[in-house]
Amino acid sequence: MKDFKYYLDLISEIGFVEEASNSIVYVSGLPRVKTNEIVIFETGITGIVMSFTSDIVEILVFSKDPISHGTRAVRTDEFLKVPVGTELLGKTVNPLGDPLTKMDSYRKPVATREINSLAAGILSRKTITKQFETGVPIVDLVMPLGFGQRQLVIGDRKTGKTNFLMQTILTQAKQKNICIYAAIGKKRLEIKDAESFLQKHAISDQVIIVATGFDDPIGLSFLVPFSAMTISEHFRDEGYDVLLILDDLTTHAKFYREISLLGKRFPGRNSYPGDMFYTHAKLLERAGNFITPKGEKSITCLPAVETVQGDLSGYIQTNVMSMTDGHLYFDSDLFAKGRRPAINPFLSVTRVGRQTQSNLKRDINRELLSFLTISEKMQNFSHFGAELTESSKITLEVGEKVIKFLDQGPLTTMPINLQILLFSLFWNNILRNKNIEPTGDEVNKMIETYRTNSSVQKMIDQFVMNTKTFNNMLGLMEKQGEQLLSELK
Amino acid sequence: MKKDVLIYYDLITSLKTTQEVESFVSEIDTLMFEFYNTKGLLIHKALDSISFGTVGKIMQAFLKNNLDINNKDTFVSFFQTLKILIKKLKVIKLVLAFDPTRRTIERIHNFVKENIGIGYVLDIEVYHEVLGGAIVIFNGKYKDFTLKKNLEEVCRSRRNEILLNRI
Repeated sequence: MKDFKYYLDLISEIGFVEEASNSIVYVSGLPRVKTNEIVIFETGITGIVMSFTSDIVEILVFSKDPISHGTRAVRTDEFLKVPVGTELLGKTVNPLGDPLTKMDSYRKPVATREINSLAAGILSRKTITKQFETGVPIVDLVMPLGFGQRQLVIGDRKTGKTNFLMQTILTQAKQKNICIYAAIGKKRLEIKDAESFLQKHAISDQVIIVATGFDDPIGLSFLVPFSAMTISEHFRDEGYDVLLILDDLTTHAKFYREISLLGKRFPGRNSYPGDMFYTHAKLLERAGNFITPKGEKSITCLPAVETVQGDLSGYIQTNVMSMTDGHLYFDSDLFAKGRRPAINPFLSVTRVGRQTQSNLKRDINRELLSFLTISEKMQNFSHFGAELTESSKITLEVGEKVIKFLDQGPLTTMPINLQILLFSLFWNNILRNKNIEPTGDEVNKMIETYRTNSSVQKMIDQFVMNTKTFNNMLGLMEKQGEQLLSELK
Repeated sequence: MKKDVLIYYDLITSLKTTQEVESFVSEIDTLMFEFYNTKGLLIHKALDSISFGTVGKIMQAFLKNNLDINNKDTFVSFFQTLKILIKKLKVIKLVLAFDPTRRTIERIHNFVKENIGIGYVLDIEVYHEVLGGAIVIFNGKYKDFTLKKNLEEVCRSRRNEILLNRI
């Protein structure tokens, strides 16, 4: 982008700052200004046009530096564009593509893409058919997701949402898919933690972090999800499946509320502006499964939303729920009970994930979900202190073990075929009789063997692929389970 | 122009620059302050609080339009309307290389009056680096007619020619 003088000579229009309040600046002049057009002030600060009347232009600036009355401004006849390209991989940038911390090796990409593009129409979309692996058994087996699905991750603060999102990034990055993590108004420490996580697992070259700190200008924080989505679209068009994580949209909504109130817009429910739903909907509808010149490619979007005391009926919460294809609810009660991840399968929904499953996976899903329902009911009954029958006691005991099986450490991910195999072994009483805990070091060792030993991996993958139903799988476990288990150890 | 607005014509057209507008508005404010301070009883005392020249212009406007200066209602509404009209004046900003004389300002203002109409005042800024000509800023439009810009353009387009002649 050129400087103030260049655009002044080129466009021959000028404006003068009349009023400034925080990130919103009111400018007179600029007779042919357009909404979303970039404006440059003589001090070098940039901003975009939010709205205008015949007398005054409302500009959202991307700087915390004060702008004084009378400062000259010029329009650029350009719309906000985000630098896109492989140069961004492994980097932490702000929504305008500038590095968050000084990086000598970073070269800003030359190619740019418009930030406010329209979502693709129905003709360029395709039904979701491929299963999206998160590496977390409770999601992959009970609440499956598909490539191109928009799945809301919802729950109180400190219930392990970000941990789950990081596990998903880890799984996807290992499958060589591009992951984009949009951290909206996060603490610097949290951004640094995410960076360290990626570096520790050596996946940072597959991941881009688009972030703003909580002390950054609100204009920039507002742009984070849009910028991240634009970068996702670029990589989708380049032929990659992209995972986009928006962490989190409640904070984004708060920033937008601040901007709108400063802009003197009429406040609506909870003081959010009237176009709050529209703003998030136009963002999320840019994700999905698409037909591109390079084949069927997807943007799987996992927006996170925070609840207060488990209240799912809040304004932003219900808005985003209605825009997405399901939600994973992180229950603070389950978290307090020690469940990790604390996903409540009874309050979670996946609308398109099950259609991506093979018969075997669907069988396991049905079996597991119906068992969990029975076990939950039994547990509720057992609270009354009633004398339990032997079969009820067994159900409760197995229920506890299933829950333990579904529990997972924060830094581990389990490949889906291994999940199926271990669950089948477990269900077939093999793991149970041997009193092997389905979590902990034993399982970690098995995961490691699966990942490092390609012949074992190939064998298990073939085994799972060739098995059509869960009954068949259990039959095979009867015969070959012991052998498979010893191979894995 | 509406007939009731015509009574302000001389006063409005006498204001040529934003500085004049500012000082005139400030004098009206002082006059009105004194007027209310004396509860409207001593209009002549209130008139003493502002400059002789401005009093002359005001008296002339009242006399020319057969308005009674001692009538409190007429007095108040006259200045209220005048302030509204002054607020509506449009500003033409000029950046010049020299400090213009009174005569030059009048000539520029007359040019504006003849070619665009009344209701415009000049905001003149002196910036020696433009060398000559002027930058005109009006209604958000920016036009650079300065010597500096022309020279820069010549230097840019005929750079090689100039350098060769120098050798």
